[in-house]
Amino acid sequence: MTDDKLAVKRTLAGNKKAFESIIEKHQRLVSHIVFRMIQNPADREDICQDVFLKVYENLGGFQFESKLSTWIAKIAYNTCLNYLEKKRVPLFDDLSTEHGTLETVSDCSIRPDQIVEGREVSSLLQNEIEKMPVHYQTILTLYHLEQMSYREIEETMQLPEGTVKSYLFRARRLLKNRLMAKFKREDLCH
Amino acid sequence: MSLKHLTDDEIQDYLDGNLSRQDALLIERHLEICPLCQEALTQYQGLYVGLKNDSGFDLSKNFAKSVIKRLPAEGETESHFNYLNIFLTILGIIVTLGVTLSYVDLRPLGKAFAHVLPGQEFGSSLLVFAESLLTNLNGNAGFLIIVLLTLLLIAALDRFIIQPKYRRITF
Repeated sequence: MTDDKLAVKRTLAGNKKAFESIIEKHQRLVSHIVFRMIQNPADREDICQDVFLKVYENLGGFQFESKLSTWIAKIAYNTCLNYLEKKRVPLFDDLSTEHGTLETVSDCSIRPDQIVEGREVSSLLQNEIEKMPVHYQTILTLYHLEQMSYREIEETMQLPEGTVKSYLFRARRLLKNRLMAKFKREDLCH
Repeated sequence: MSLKHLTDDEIQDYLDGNLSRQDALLIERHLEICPLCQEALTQYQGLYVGLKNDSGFDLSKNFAKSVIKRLPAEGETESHFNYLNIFLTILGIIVTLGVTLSYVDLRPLGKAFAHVLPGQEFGSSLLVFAESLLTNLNGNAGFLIIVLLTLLLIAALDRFIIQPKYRRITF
């Protein structure tokens, strides 16, 4: 029996220490999703707590048809969506269509691999990510930070796999172009 | 592929490992001879590194314990839900039985069941009962509608007020 199965079984038998271990194992995943989707820092920890309360309440219905982490991510995602709907935050803003060609960035002397090492650029990247619609941010987080597959992201966000891939590619292309454009402008200023 | 520049999608597919070995080799051959696409590849590689360095936010040190403290006590949620559910079930049964006993003549049904044992015609007895039931209902239809609405009200209370309150399953 895997660690997850054992922890779930023990939790269902009333062992709260086992549930604590589930929380500790998955709190990073939940915090990443909540961080990306919820802009108000004051609400984030409460929402993370709500996610794990829902996990606890519904654990009996979890049949291991997916990974426990994917199931928890789905609950985190839906909890955030409910919060955003209550706050009437638009979820489906479209990205401005920036189809940057290679030529537009090819002459840039600063490359992301050089600049991401600096705190300033890392913070710029975060700012650019935060400007994106929630779905794009979430997909970037699940793919790059949590190393989820397209299939797992599809399951978590209930979006078709093709849409997941399309959003991911579009988001990265836009981020790259925005970063390059920003640094080119700053070069010109100096 | 070697003549045209790589598209953004092709570069991302390459970095994500989505391509077959053969397609990946074609990309690599093109990259060897095209500085422009090498540059684009490096830009994407840098972006991937940046995306992995997302810091997020730190939960409090006692986060797990705080959640554990908020968990309902053993059986707490269940017991509330069960008491109310049992109450509503009993209420529904009483209303249904009360109306049935007051307004419907059950004797034909009794006869129908009595015929089962000696193996007589159960089907025809049921028809007699159905006819009798329709006769008894004649003139009481308005009352029955009120009863039906009462039962629907009980079901709606259960579905929309009690269940959401005691079962916080919302995903």
